[in-house]
Amino acid sequence: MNKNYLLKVMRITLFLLLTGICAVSAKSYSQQITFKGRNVSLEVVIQAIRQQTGYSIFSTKHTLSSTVPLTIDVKNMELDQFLSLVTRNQPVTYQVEDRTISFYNSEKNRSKIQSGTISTQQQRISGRVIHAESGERIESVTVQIKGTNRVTTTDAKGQFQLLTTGMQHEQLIVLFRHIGMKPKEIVYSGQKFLEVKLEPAAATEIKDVVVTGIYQRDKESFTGSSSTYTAKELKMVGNQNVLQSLKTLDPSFAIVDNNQFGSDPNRLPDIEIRGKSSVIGLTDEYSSNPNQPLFILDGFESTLAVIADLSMDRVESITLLKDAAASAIYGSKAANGVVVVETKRPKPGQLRINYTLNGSISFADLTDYNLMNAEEKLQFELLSGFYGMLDDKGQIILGSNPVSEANYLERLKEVRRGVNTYWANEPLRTAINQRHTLFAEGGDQSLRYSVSVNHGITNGVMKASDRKTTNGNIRLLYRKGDLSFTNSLSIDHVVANKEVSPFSTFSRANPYHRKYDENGNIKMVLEDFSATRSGYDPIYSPFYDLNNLNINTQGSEGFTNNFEIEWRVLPELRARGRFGLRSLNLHDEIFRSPFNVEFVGTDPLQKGSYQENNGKNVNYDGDFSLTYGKLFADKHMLNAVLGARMEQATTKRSSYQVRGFIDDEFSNPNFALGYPEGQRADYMQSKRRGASFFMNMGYSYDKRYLLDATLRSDGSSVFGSERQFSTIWSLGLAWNAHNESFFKQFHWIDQLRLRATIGNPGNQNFDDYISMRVYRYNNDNRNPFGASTIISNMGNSGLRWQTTLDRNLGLDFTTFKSRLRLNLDYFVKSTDPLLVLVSLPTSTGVNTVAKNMGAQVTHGFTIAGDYTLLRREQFNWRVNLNMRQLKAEYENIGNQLNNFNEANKSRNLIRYYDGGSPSDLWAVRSLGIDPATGREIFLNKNDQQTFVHDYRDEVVVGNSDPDLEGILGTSFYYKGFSASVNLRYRWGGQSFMQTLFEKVENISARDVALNQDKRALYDRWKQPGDQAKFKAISNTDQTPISSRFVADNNMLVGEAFSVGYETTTAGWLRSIHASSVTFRAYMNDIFHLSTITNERGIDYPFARSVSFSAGIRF
Amino acid sequence: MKILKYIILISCLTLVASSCSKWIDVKPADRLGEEQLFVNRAGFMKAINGVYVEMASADLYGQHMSTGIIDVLAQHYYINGSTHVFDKYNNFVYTEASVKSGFEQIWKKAYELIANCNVILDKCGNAPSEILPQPYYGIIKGETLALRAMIHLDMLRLFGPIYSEDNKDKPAIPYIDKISYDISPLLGSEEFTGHVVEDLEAALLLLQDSDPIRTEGVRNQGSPTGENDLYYRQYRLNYYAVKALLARTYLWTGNRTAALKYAEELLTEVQSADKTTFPFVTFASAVSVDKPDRMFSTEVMFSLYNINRKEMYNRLFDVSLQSNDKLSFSNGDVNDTRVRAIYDDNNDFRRRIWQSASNGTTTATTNMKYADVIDGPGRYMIPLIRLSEVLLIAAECSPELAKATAYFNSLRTARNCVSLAPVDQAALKTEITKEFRREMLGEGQQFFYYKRNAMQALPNSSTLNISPEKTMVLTNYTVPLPDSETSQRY
Repeated sequence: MNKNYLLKVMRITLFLLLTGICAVSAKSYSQQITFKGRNVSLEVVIQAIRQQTGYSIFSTKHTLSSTVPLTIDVKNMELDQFLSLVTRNQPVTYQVEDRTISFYNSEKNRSKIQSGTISTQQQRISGRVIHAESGERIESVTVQIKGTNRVTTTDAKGQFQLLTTGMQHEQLIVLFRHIGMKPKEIVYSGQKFLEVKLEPAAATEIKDVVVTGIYQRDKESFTGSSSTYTAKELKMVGNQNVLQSLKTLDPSFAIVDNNQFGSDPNRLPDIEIRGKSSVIGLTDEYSSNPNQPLFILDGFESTLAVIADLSMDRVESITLLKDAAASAIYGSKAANGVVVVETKRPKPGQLRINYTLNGSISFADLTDYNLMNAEEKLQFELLSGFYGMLDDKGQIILGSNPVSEANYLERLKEVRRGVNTYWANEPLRTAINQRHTLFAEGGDQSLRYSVSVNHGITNGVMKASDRKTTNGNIRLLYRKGDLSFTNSLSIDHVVANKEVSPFSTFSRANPYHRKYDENGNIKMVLEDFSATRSGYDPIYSPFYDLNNLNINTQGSEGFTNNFEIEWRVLPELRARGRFGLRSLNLHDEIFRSPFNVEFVGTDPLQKGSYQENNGKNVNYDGDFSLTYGKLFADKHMLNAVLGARMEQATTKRSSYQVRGFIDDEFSNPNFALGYPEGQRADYMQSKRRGASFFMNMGYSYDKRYLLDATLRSDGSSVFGSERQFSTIWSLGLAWNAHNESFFKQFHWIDQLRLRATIGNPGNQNFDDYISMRVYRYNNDNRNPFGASTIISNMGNSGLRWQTTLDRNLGLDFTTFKSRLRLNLDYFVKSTDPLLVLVSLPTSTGVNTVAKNMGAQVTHGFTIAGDYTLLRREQFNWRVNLNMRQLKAEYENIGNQLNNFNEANKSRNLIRYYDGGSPSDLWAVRSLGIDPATGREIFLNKNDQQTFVHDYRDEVVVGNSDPDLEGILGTSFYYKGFSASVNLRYRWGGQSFMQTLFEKVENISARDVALNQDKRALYDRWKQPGDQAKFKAISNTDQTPISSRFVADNNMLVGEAFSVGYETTTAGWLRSIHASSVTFRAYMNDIFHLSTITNERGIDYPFARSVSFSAGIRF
Repeated sequence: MKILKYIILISCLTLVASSCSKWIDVKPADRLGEEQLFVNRAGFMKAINGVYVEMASADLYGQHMSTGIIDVLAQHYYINGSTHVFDKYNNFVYTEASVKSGFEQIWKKAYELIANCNVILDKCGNAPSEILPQPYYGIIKGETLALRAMIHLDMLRLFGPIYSEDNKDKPAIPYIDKISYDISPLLGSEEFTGHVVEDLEAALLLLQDSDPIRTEGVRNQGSPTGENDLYYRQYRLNYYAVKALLARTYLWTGNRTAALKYAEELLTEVQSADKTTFPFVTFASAVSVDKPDRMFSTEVMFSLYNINRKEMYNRLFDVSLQSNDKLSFSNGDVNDTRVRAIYDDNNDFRRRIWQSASNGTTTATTNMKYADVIDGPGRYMIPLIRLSEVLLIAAECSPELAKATAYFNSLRTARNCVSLAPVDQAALKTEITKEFRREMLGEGQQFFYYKRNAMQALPNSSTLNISPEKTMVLTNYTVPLPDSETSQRY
């Protein structure tokens, strides 16, 4: 299969290569002119040139009006020759530069130069700024005569005029600056027309711009805490998705490890920027994570799912907005930070095609599993008394159940025969993943386009689980005078299949059972206890369901259209309107085969089930903003944004279920026998709207003192009628010390900036109707009085919306000619009050209510630094280190959450007490197992030893947050080659050892029949004198959690290794008509070292992956 | 030109800003916000009807508090051993998980409805208004107050202690009379019933002038206009029902004088010679072959309307049910020992609810009270207050034996039974207890009767005959508060 597949890929690649080449040649314009005309105006001739060459032609009506008609007849004449022919006797002259022809009035220019030499009264420099690569004219370039306050900006055609009256031309240096371009200085030597080409900024320089999705700002003059990553940096780390790469690159961005679902491709990760802002009681209640950041894709709000599925080859850059000054422009949704993704904008020029292939091979990481083999398992069962009491020789005492010994011997026979089944490999596979991205772009000054298509197949490491994503995007850019229009249309299609049964059913199967019966058929029942133990369910083979036809598919089709219109009212004032439409159709189907073991014993008419869920989301949003930016008196830079935004989101869901299938060949609901009794179809619909007004002002004095202020008023239908609008503000100050004149003496310091910000962004990741009292119609029972309504949600109308007071201190430091860079941020976030879902006595009429109570204060810092060890021509070696620390604590909770504490006691180690941290682990201290009795010895609050476990003796025995976590890495470039290594370290902090608690101890008499961790056999107390860590092996009682199950957790993970090669200059490129080629290979999460042994990936294992990417550009 | 540009810009901004508040005032499509509901009389009607409809759910009077759990506690039925689904209830095993969950459902639903009542009362205000004019103001507010009192009273009767001088101050359950998420204190029975009476008295005042039942009767038919807000008064907590509730409440607290006062007032009003609001069921109707009135629907003062009543019957009484799932007087057969033990008079109409029903394979003595009779009288009715209870209250509370016996025998006569002549009050009380048992089967009142009288000898439910009597431990009369209540009180 794999071979066929490779062949297919190769064939597709070849096809793409060919079509690419054909397309290029078809689009190539000739540079020869064929023209025949009698007494035609020059304008007509110019039209013909434009049509035949595809060149842009630049002239004014006035220039052409003075020309005389011509008569020409030429065939295949070279362009240059043709131009000189048509202008020979005309009062115009021309200039050809980079596919642009400009016609000037030759008379006028001459006279102007003459007048310039005669009088110094009317001196000016005029010219034009174009893009060095694309030849596109660049507007709003700042043009300044260095050392003076003579400043102007270029117009939409890239042209400028700058008065130089009264200046000595010999000494003039003209300075050109533009966001995203390298600044350029030109010594003016009296040219009549300056043609300036600006180079695009290198990757590191794109990073000097902060893109918030609403406005852009020079990082140099921005006070907020943000970081920007280019596509190149993201791809240097990994090719899975942007989120995985961000995790490695930025210390504040974390993906919470999901120990339950590991590397399930269909499970969206939990993402946090700078930790949690609230958790209590809510995570259980809602599917969406209340600590999830806001995602912005090309200026429009997006979802985690879209970003997770986004092809990395479409991404231009990603900006993380971390503190209040940076994120407050997003108001009540910004408390958890903002991820701003910008995709590639089409560049003008001939059609160019990019093709990238990403492939990877992933396999399950089971190194943390420590399962017993057949021999060990049987021994464990014997010692745990599963077959009855043992005498001092270790023989089963024949007691009330003589069948037991026979049963044991039967199994022993199997073990002796060599039965040692390894179940865990059955649901697993080595998965091959691929993603193809094709990107084409081109166009001219006024109209540009890009088309991208990508298709990805991510196969999970568990059989039958995969995710197929297809995305198409068309983007058009049209510019006319002061107006520009952009439209981006995307279509997404996702099909996700889920595994049949969780991995845990396999990891718990017994190794002494056989997979197949004597006839080679898959066994259904591994062991039937009906003869030996009444009340015990038979053990079914997990393998059995895997071979039935089960379906668990989720599909979605998304359509997104974003339209933007921008009007340059004045050089310094722009107005922008945007409108986005997003619709998403969801379709889930779950079919459980009637042959599955879960239906054993079920009424035949009820066997097998089919469930279908359908959903539709339609979201609109629109915004209108004014952006103003001007430098006054050369020192006062003022930037301002004023805008309004509206949005609407509607959601519809419906589902039904049917039961009773004869066969699994026909999963069509049409074949079902009926509906489950008493069940109706579900239907849900909701709509929420929001409107907001925002204002941001940035002021910088002489680039030394910076100030940012944001004010946003957010209205939302979910706030309830009593307070529809909430106000969010932020204020930031910064000092660019390196721009101070007294600082120039420390010339070894390139940059030293101090930042301080404060603000109160909010959090809206809560239920739509949490604050409203809502009635539902009761349709179950009708009476003569007509319709009836009953409260479905009591709501809490007095609820204050959760906002987080976010304070940040930052330092940006660059030294030794940019060899050392350091970013430091220290922050204090206080969420006060918290929004907590509190349980109430049912006499209040409700079970739970959202209440404002208490506060959570998080302190933390992040440090990111890199140092260039070696820097030579075409050679560069860097090391990088980043780290974060987060410490949080509760305040003013009092005893209001005691009921949570009570409920948690038997489940976990999380408690809510004032002064305690959300990540504290509470348990009774344990001194271990008494060697004499095998019982556990506890330490009570008075430090006395006791055999009695009492929850009142609980203290903090650990903290699940590390003292430090981050990445240590190095990267290396030589010519086109590059390599990087990034290791994740976690230092300090503890973990609750789930495996010890569930699979070493606390194995109930019933669970003894399942496979367990080896330590259950080897490390448990067996006889007096044993220095064991765990209770007596024969003990099947429930053990409460104590400090024995908490251990220091230090970690080192091989998160990302990569090597790559990129070339744009190699000679062989031309022979395949390509302009650049990139290759890269990766290894992700290839090792995971930890000081604890705890099973990771209970229901879905974690994956290690080796991947590669290859890109070609024509 | 510049000015023009600014004008365009400013007008754009104004346009955006002006329509904003309206824009975000969004109404959910599949449900109603509180502000949308209480905008007119119809909204209030929907909200109060919501309470009536939910009261008829299985968690409350649709089963648990009428024919199910509560009647099992009253030892009505023959429960044949530990495998019966109601066995743990029958033996008051309040610690059993399934039993706990049953009582928790009752508790939760009751207080949920009380919260609904409180919202309606809050919206009603203190006087008739434009959106809620008279008589609707009086009706809605009066009925809601009475509903709140009635549900509270039943919770006290179930979860509170037996009312006595000794423990009338013992904290029992909370009385919730406002919308709040604060934890309300547990009140003693005396204080609690004080609130019940207060609400009922207020309801009486409000209903006195607005309830059409006093002038028009029960009007158990559709309104000619199609709007039934003032019709079907038997299915609403009307003026007379409130009076009956007052009598019931006073009797619970041992105030026989007040109970008698309300009972007698009521009897004069509803059974006077010229106007009989609640006439006794007629012979023809009670024994009709095709449409028997097994509810004695004409005498019902307050009932719930439940179109799904048949399902309740199918769950509890249907002949096809296994013996272990069924509430019956026999062990899946036609034995009628228990029927004969309870009904002393063979001509008693009430005896006719017990019939030998058959589904083809099984024939068994079956309680047909709630069996579906197509187009029958009170087909969807779940009676909660009936005239006979008022008569029995009057009989129990009348200090003179002759008068008491007269009240008692008027009921006997109406049931086609011979009149009795008890020798003294004690003998009369014994007869009243038996009469109550015959009268209230399937209506949830019997357990409270036993509890009020602190009876320690109950009919035997583990034998087919009702005697020898089962000894009742008095503490078993008090159902412990559900965990969902106690675990959150700190």
